[in-house]
Amino acid sequence: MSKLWIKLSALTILAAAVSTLSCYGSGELGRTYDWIITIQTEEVQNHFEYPGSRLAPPVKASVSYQKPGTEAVALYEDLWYRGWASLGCRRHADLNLGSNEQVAIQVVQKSNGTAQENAASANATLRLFLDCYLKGNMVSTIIVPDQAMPQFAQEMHRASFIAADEAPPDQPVYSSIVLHLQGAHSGQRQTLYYPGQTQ
Amino acid sequence: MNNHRTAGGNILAICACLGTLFCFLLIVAFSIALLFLVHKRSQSQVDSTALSMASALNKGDRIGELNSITEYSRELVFTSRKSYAEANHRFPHIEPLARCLLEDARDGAHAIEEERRFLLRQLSRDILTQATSTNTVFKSAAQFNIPLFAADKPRITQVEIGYVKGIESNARIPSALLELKNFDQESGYIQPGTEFYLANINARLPAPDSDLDYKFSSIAPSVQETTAPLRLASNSVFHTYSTVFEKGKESPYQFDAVPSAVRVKISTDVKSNFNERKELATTATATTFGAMPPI
Repeated sequence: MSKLWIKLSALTILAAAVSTLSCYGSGELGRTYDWIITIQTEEVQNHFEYPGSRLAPPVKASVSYQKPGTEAVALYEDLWYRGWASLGCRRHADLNLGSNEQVAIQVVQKSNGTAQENAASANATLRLFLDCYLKGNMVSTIIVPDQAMPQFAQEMHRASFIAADEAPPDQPVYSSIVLHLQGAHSGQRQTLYYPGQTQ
Repeated sequence: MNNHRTAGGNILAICACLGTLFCFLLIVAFSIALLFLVHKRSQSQVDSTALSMASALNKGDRIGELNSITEYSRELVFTSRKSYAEANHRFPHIEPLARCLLEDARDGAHAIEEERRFLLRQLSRDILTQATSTNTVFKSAAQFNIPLFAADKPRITQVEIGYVKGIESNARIPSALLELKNFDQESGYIQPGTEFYLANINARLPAPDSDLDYKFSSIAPSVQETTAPLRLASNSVFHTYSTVFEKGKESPYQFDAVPSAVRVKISTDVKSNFNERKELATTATATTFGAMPPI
């Protein structure tokens, strides 16, 4: 078991190193990742619209994945939110990524990055990160719309992630989870650390 | 001559009797026609009132949406529980994150159940408001008066809410989660031969999430992107949850299922000139629109 943790920690450090070399434009995504998972969020209007409704407007996050450079897109699931609060999930198929793969999560916001949408996409990202991790895959980078970066990082605090400067590649990282956010076009970076430590 | 005069007098008397009898029969015929008219008017009013109330029940597809999100919540809690169990077993250092996401999913389930209860109260209020306002409109309706009878203005005397037997829920079974689907089949949650959950059940998840409530309501699912229309139904297929309006007054709120059909009774008092009073009652059942296709 400890060997596995060492391996995962090494993968985290490797991911940090790789992400420093990674591309900025979405057109170049395929060069450093085995898979791209896309989370497309949208505030759904006309749903739960009645006086006093506490579920409106829900945010739908459609999750699909594909191999970079290919056009075949597999639909994975639809997640439903009210802001940060998860409401539901409709699973369409298994997440067939294999294992030991490098994954990039790309967030696409159709409703221009409203507060509800930012919160929902942050939560959906964590759920996808967990799904990938449990299948032995590493999420190298999370690509977020530029204008959503600050609030997206802020929303991650709800799950106890802390934003800090990225550690130099030659220094070990003791956080159990390290997430690398990257602006979709600006290439702006932000590193988030989870408080738990690897052994 | 005298005989002729006598005979002519008899004819006059007979004509007078026949005329009186004819007038009497005419009045009786008018009275019967009035009763039919009152009944027809009452039936028309009760049909339109029942349809109007039923349309309010699933306004904006709120029942269909609630059923769907309830099923989605089941899937989310189920998958979050599995992720948590795996993280706890294999990767203890990410167990806190998995636990956080599981608790978030469970909180969502509580929020949806709370919303369902809110919707119940909302629907009940909507029906009562409609019953009261319809009675106000009825007060300005015309009265029928003829020599033998008088028909009073109609009024809603009873409103029951419930569902139409045989219509189950629009919530689809999980297609990609075989373990959950098998559990649901074994638990008898699924309508045989379909891909929908039964209505009026509490589709609890396996332990330790069996404390969460997942209640599905009866609403016709869409078929090939087509929604079932608002319609009248036979009174015999109506199953009542509760009477919400009785004799012009609100009845105590005592039901726990979201209704999709309504049965309305309208009464009209018919009075005779001999101080006899009879209540003419008509009843209609209407079921609301079916659920919209899932987005």
